[in-house]
Amino acid sequence: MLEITLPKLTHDMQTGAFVQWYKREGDAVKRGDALYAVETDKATVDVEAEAGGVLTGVLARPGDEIAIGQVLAYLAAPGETIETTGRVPGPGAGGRVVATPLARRVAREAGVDLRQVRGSGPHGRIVRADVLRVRRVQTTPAVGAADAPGADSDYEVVARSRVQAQTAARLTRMWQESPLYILDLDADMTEAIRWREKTGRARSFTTLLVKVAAAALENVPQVNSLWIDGELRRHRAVNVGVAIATPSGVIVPVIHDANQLTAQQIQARLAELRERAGAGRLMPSDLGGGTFTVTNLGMYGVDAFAAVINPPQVAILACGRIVETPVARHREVVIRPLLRLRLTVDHRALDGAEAAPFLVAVKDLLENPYRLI
Amino acid sequence: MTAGHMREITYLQAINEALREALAEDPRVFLMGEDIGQHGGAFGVTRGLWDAFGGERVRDTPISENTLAGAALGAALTGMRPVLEIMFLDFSLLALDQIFNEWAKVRYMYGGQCTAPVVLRSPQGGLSWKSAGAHHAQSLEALFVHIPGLKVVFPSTPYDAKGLLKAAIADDNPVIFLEHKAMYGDRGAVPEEPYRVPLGVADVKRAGDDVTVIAAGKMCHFALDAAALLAKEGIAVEVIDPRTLKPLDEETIFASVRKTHRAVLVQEAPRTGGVAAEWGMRIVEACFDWLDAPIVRLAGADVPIPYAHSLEAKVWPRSPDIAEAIRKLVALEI
Repeated sequence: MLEITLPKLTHDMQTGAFVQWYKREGDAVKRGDALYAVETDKATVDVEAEAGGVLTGVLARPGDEIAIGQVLAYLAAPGETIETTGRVPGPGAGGRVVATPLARRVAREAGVDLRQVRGSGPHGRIVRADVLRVRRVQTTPAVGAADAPGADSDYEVVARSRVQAQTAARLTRMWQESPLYILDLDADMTEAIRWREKTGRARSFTTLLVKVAAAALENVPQVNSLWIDGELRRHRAVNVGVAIATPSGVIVPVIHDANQLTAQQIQARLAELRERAGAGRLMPSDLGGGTFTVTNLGMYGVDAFAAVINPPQVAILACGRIVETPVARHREVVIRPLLRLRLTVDHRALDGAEAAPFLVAVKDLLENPYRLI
Repeated sequence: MTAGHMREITYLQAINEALREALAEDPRVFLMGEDIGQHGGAFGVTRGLWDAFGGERVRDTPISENTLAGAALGAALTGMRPVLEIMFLDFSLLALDQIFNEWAKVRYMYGGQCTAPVVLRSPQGGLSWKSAGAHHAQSLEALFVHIPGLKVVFPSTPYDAKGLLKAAIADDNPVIFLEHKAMYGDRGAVPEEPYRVPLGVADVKRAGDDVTVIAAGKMCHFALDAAALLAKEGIAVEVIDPRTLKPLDEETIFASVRKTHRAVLVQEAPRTGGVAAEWGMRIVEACFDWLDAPIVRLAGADVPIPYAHSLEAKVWPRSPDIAEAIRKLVALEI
């Protein structure tokens, strides 16, 4: 029984993408027969059989990324079978991730997607060192450690968590597909600050934003919609998502029926979601069903920013910090604490005349919080 | 290890000293077995004790293993602390009804109203200076480990042999004390003062970070030889000698595997149903998420021990086999 392994076909070749077999399992193969095609970094090439035999134990499948020297299949003598030699197809056959228990645990804890890791063990099995190589930028590499990045490289590849990778894919699609426009409006936060002081700062501005956005969505329901397959679906429930930064990426847990909750309930729910998000223990139900999103970077010192819509929602409300600003009131310049509200809107779903009343409603409620609370 | 004056003695002398001390310390202790008196035992372990303590306390017996085992238990139940020698562990199979069904169960079945402080001492294993064949070279520890109620000890050094035998004689439960017949002449440091090595405590014979090797008896020495060889190649091997096969010191083993993430298990006994299988399963149960490679087992072949020296030489793993397995494991070839 001979192993058919991937040869080095070009000078720089490390791996190849398997294209197809020209023979099937069980076919007789003569030396020199075209056996399979593989795509290298340069071109797709046909590879000939180096010996004759019966093609057996086929492991490589079209689309597989294969390393030089990796076993693709076996050539058996007539009558010889995989069973007679004790060989079995590698555990990675069929695209299954093969990793040691320790590698799996380390990957889980580091938020590394094992499908993105190349295994150095037998049959491409992923061991801990392979995961650490991917994760290395997240930790300070020890000097001289076996897993430290190569000193000759002038950059390092930053591992992205699955959350970050998925966020990137979703937002890229949204950005490419959606005609966006942005509405700005400043809210005078004098009363909001007074309200917050009265609560002894037990309530956050984010809580107030959720409460206010939920009430505004109730008043201007066309914003409380999802854009799915070219359909605008106006939702009855007002479920407000709040963007939260976690070590493994931005996630948007949802406060369901936010329009029916008191500020105290919203505050409590936010605290619970933040805690669970920090511990990585959010449930699917915590993350699903959002109809609108608010995002607040005020605590990071940003004045204002435009957010990317969280699809399939049709708008997102972004705000920064409250800025003491000179403004004209009754023909006089006074200093007022202003919050710049910036609403990003998907024009496929809403035009400006539909979105503007929503932003005005948010401003009015922020300036008069006692209407709500 | 222990304060006090140390000197080098053999494994055999260490066992002899433990028996001598136990006989002197406790009038309830007595020895029984075939040819152990005036002759000093088939391997000479009890040499000199008949002269020192007399035929009442170092008793020669007929060749009737099951009767001996029954008599030993009877003596234990009436307050004595017998130490029974079976000339070859292979012969203990004749006494298994008494050992498995009576020794192991009597304390339990009488609700703790009696104790069974009886020790079976017996040599096992091959690899000795001459081929001993199918009936004189077996490693049978797995049989005894399997029976609830028995403790099983298998020391690999003179120090451990003496201290563990003292602890075994002092224990109120039946203890199977296995001696490796190929190690009787091995020398090692042993204190002059009395001491005990507690049952159920493993010993890290060599510390290392790359791979854990678990091996008892003669195999522990082969593992240490392999570890010394591999140290020159930059592979740091930790060698754990369980010393007591039951109860097993899981914590020492688990801590080591959680450190090295790799385990190699070595036993002299045939592969199927051996103690290495038990060690491996316990590691999987407790350390699954720490394992970065498959657990590797080296064991004796599943064959009766051949008499022909050329064939016998192929039955058991040796240090080059252990070293090669570790090399492959570390090189990610396994």
